[in-house]
Amino acid sequence: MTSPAILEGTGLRKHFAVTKGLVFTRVRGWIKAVDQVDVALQEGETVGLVGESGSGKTTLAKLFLLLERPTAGTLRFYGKDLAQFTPEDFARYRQTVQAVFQDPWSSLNPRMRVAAIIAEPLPRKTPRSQARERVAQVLSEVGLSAGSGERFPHEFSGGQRQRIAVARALVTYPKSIILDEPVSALDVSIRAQVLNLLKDIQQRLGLSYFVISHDLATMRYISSRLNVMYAGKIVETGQSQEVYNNPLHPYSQALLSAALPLHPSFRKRRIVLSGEVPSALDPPSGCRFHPRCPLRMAICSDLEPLLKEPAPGRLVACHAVNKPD
Amino acid sequence: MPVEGDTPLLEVRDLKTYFFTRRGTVKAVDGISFSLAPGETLAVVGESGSGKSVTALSLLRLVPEPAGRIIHGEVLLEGQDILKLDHREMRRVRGSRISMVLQDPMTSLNPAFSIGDQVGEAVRLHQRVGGGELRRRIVEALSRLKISSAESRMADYPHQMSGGMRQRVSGAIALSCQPRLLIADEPTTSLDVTIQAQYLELLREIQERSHISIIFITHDFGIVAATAHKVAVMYAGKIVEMGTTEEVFDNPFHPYTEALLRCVPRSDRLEGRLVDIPGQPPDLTNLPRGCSFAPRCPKAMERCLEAYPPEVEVSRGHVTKCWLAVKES
Repeated sequence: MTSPAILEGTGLRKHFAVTKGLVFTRVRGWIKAVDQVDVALQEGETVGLVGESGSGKTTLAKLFLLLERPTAGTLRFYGKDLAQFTPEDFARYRQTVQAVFQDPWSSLNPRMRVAAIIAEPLPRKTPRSQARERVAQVLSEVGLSAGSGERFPHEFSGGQRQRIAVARALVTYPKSIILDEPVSALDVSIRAQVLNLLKDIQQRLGLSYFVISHDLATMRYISSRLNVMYAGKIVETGQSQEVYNNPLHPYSQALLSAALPLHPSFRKRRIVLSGEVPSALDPPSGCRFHPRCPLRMAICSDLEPLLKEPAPGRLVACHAVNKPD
Repeated sequence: MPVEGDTPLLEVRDLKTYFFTRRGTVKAVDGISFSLAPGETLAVVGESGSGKSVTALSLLRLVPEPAGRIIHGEVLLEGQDILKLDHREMRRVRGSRISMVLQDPMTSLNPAFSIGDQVGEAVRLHQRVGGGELRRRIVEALSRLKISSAESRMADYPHQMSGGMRQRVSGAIALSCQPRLLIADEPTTSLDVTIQAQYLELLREIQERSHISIIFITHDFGIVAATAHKVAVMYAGKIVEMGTTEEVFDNPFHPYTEALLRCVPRSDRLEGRLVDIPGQPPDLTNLPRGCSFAPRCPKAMERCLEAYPPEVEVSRGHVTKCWLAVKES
């Protein structure tokens, strides 16, 4: 690799302790929300992460946003380890890595004017005139009128609010944006507007995106690389196109097959998984997917599969796919 | 499957539900008509504010009063106009002949009662059974929605269950009295993709077995493609296009339907930008004089701004309200 990735997580783990008792606290167990995950985000690329609720995708986003610290593993920012960050590094990190959240009804403070919301991430010492100018710039960047800054969030529709959230993320000249389900709270006709906007901005400003979603079609449209996560682990990763056209892991296959058809003639017998995403407190032994897996073998409940490369550029953690040599 | 020529189970004629607010009259549902055969699934598609949920509430006469009122129309359930029933008679219809599953099982179930109690409530009210018989009915209702070991789970509370299972409990309540019509208002939006697939599959099985009619309220054409025989597209309180699912998908006539179908990312059109619909959904207190979609419509003509288009049949059973369909005479 020529230049270091903007963000790189190696062997990331985030375990939450489940405790019992108030005074003499005992740890009853650990929720392994993120368990041994490797991800990297290069400049200008879009990495997607799909998974269902409870798969740990939001915890991973929180690690990237420094809202949680990893239990183990390293997070590197342009090659520099988080553990060796100086206060200046933290400041730079927070400006470079920004976020847009799912629900623009709860992510914007209803009591602040839009201009104040957007200016909030700017360093405190920024002169007022300069802040005003920057806010006007990003407002036009996301296609809102300059006058919008004087108004309050409730005066805007869902799609416009999400534009405000994007403007707030752009204000610090970031290099990458973490997008947690950026369009799933929006109406279908508005989703396309916001997705187009995100793509345009990315091209214009050379941003990299880390997108989290459960919607495979959206993901495929926006991301170049795709990671599929299940119960805290990445089970498959590869070029989005390839993963979408030819998913190898049985979970990726089921996830794709569960997606709704685009036309009534595609109404087919779907692979309908029985059961639900396992409890992270007590995950199944061996492969965490084995109780729901149609390809289950004897080995699956004993031995945890490791990520291997069955095809170039593709990593899959599955005993059935990675036949032992 | 629905049988052609059956007497409709439900027939809605020119239904209007308005809300009278300080900011003006909101014509949430403005003259809609449709019919539904036994065993048929109709999907009502629309964006937020299109009037699809108010349509559902109107069919059950649960529109929040006094602001909201059904001011016009007929809702014929097996030939009987339920808008003419008094409150006591209407209560006997709800839950026993028409029932409803709401979007969010986290809020539609009562956290303070066990799920057995909540399923039992509907059965007790409508069928006046008690004791062992009631218990048997509850277990039966839960097992119909594939809740395993229903006997022991009856005593569980909603917080002990996952989202998918909670939604199945809501389904069990709705179907406990064997209604003829089930209204499902975005039943799977809060569920995960694989759980959504499970739930839709389950509803399909139940429909095949008990020949129930279903109205799906949704904003997702994927749900329509997966489940519906017929689809009605709503925009600003009116049905702008209606027809069989295949017909509407293959030959969408109304520019709004066309745009909705095209703005979804699809596998065969990957390159470049998504087709988007410019502008915002309309403000219902201040609708334009002509067609309410005209300000966002790429094909708008002068006459679209002047008057609302009449309903035109573009092919058999496929109707639309658009000036483009009106042939010059």
